[in-house]
Amino acid sequence: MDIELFIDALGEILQWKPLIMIFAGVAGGILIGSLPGLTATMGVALLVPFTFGLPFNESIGMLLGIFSGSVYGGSISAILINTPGTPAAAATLLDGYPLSQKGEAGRALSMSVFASFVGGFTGALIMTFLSPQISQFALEFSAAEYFGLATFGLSIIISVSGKSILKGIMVGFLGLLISTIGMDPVSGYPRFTFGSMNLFEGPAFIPTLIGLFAFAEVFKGVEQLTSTKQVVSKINSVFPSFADIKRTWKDMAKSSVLGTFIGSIPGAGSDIAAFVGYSEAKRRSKTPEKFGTGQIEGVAAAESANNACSGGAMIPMLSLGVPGDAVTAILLGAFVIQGIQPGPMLYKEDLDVVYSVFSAMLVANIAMLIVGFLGVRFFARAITVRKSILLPAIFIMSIVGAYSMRNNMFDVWLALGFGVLGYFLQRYRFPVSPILLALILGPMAEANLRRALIIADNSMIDVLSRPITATFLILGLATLVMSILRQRRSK
Amino acid sequence: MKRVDIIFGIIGLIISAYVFSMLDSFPEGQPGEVGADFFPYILAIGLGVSSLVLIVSSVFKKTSEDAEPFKFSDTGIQRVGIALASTVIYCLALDSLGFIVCTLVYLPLMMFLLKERKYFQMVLVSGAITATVFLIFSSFLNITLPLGTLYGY
Amino acid sequence: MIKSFKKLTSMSLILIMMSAAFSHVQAADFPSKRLTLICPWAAGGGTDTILRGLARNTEPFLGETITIINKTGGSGAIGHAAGVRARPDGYTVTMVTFDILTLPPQGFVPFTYKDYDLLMRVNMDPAAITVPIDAPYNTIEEFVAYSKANPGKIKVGHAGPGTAWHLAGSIFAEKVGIDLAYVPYNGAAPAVTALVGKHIQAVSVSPAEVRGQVEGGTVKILAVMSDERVSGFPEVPTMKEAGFDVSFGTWRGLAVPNSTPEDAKKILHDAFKKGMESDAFKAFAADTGLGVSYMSAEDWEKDLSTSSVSVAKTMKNLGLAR
Repeated sequence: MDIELFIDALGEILQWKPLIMIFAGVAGGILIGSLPGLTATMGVALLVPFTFGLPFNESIGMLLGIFSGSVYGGSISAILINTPGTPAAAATLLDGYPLSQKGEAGRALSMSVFASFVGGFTGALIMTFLSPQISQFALEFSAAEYFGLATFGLSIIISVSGKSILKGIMVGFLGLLISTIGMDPVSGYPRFTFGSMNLFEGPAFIPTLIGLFAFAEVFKGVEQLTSTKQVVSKINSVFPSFADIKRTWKDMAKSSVLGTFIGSIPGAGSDIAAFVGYSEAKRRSKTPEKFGTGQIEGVAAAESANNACSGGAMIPMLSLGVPGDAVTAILLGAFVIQGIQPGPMLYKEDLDVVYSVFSAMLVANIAMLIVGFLGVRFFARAITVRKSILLPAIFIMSIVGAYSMRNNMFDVWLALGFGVLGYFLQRYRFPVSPILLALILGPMAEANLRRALIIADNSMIDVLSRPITATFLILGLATLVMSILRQRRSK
Repeated sequence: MKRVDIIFGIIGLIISAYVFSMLDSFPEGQPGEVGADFFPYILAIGLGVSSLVLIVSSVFKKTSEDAEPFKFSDTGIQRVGIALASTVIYCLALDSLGFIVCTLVYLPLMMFLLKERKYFQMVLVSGAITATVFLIFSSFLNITLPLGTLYGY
Repeated sequence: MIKSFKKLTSMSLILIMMSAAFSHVQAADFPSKRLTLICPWAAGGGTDTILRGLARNTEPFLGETITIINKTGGSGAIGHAAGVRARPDGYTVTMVTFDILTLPPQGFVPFTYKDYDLLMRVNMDPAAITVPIDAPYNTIEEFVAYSKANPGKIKVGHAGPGTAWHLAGSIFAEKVGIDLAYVPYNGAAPAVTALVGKHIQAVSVSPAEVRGQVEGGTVKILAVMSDERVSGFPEVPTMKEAGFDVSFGTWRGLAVPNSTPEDAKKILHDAFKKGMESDAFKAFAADTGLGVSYMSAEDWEKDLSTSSVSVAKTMKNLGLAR
């Protein structure tokens, strides 16, 4: 680490032009992230062409601003309308939405901004100081290790199942079956597609998410229009209280580190990180049964984990030239167009570029904190809008969000279908989050197990006995057994 | 006994039976190989077993129905039905009539359904939402919304 | 209730009339309104990048704006289908990709490239065999000798079942008579990542997709499957130089639906060709590392008529056709 060079790079970023771009990127990112259907990936992809003509510092500032802003932005709609704006915020709504139903939207939002900042900044710091070391660890992950990680992740289904583990498991299996729809990852055979080309790649994830959460929620709102009273939202301060920070700092610290590591593994993204962070906070808690009813720790853990992931995902992209997730894959392309080829050579030859990226990431997170706090009051007011106005507006945004992902009307029908499913599941106390986890992790588990088997000449023992894989599998099994035992005891 | 859980359990069993019936047509892999049918097979067993357990446990459960029953006579349920139907019509019309026209009609109708009676505000807000969504997507993000094939787009 | 309904209907009528003002009337000469370019692949990917670069540099020659729609999904089937079904008036152009050859044999789409009127090929990227830097072979001949001695031991990563890179590995193995195992990844980048981590022994993706790793000294390209050496990698031999008659790659080009008027096609072709030849586009393409390679509609059509047959045959051998 060349401190002098780093300070020079930071100074370059702190000029007014790059700063304006960072703030503009963060504000735009928060907007994109908060709209269901517009994800961080899409936001960055759509704005990359606009940055071609800009100097490097300005374009990287804008892109990282969008990246950081949109990951945080997803939590706003998760907290306010029970719909994750981006998949990364799917764990945030578990406790964020109950909080806002209790009239504490302001508290949840300000905690979310703060936790996002803590996570994002920690991720950026770890990226700045430990990139080369971590990237070597990330390379250890072959198909077998990914299978282990995915299986461990699936054990989290138990901890997001709410009251009935049995219902959670059943819904989880349903979700896993849904995730097998589409072309088989090895042979290409179209499974359960009913001959529709719209299903060849499986049910598109974002429209499914919009259906299960946004549509289900508005249907519920429409049904209970008269029986529930208008949510009030009281805001004393846009900053999280000292008591809340004291209560959650350990969870935030743990989630930030976990999130960075998960982010640094190529192919494991912020959605997984958020669930792992959430489940860790629940496991650690003295009152795990209160999770899901509006525990501020749940919001803090999920949000710090998913934002930390951004810094983590940058690690293999910069130091190895392999993208850590979908967003960094697009960033990689943007770098190449700017004439910069990320990879080991970048560290040897263009250390100043690397440090500019580090600085921009750190500054973008500070910008997110500022813009986020400024926005809390404004966002929190959104749910005080009359339901007769709010619900139709969410309907339109959900339809447009589902459509715009692939510019495909089929996805709107898909979202509506999942909306009806989600509505009935919620009405009869079936948890919906297990479906989501299954959709994220199911394809990851299947494709990687089969990939690993090809690599290991079909020897299942070889695949399962790899140290990292075996550790994950045992951890997953332990989580499963312990959760069930704990539920038994509490009865 | 919880009737709802039994219904959900039966639906689960039907889905798992359907998956089993489909697996025959999947391509055969090499013997001893994990093929395209392996995961669906395991998962269908999992869904079937958990559905059975749900049915059995709810048959023997003493607790009575706790979720609100689903009655078509309930005004809330009727409202959901109308909302769903209007959304379906909206989506059907979207391609030919275009986003702007459809949304300008759909929003006030929906607000009316949800007992909004301040007409001036209703129209104003509908126009504002339509314009904002259209501008954000079409101009700012360059994502094309259906403009309506009826007018030659 | 009834009174309020009346009020509502009249309000709605006013809104409908207001919105009618948005509609346009079609004019006679081409092009007189903005064009739509369908991209069958997601924003931010290779196809999207090259298309956006080309569109931006072609707009001045058409005098109209070009809107790009990413109609993605179904391994490109959705976008290609939308392109075929578009109104044949020249206002909707599709960026057709290699996948138009692999989709029909798999039974995924009911149309072929013949349902398009081709305008021109824009880009071509050859496949290459890339291995870790410390692999026990330094040339493609040594690689072939090694794999003959160890059949099935070399695992070749590719971008997914039925993709160009999957076929590339298989066509190469078929031609030189070796037995390779294929590991499907979800796109080229994860396959390259696995190669860098030494979990697989080779990848069959394009040189551009491993450029960063080659420069970083973690992998080496043994040979490219093109007729001539690739610019940017002048030291890498072609397969033909090593005595293997293999030439294969992925490509992208522009097409419109059948029965589009001839004059519209000509105007489109000329404008896009000018766009391709502009200095700005050339510089852009060089930065992205994507190989620009113009081919006229006739030559391209001829090329496709032979390659569609060989692709279908390879797909059958791989068990992908049905």
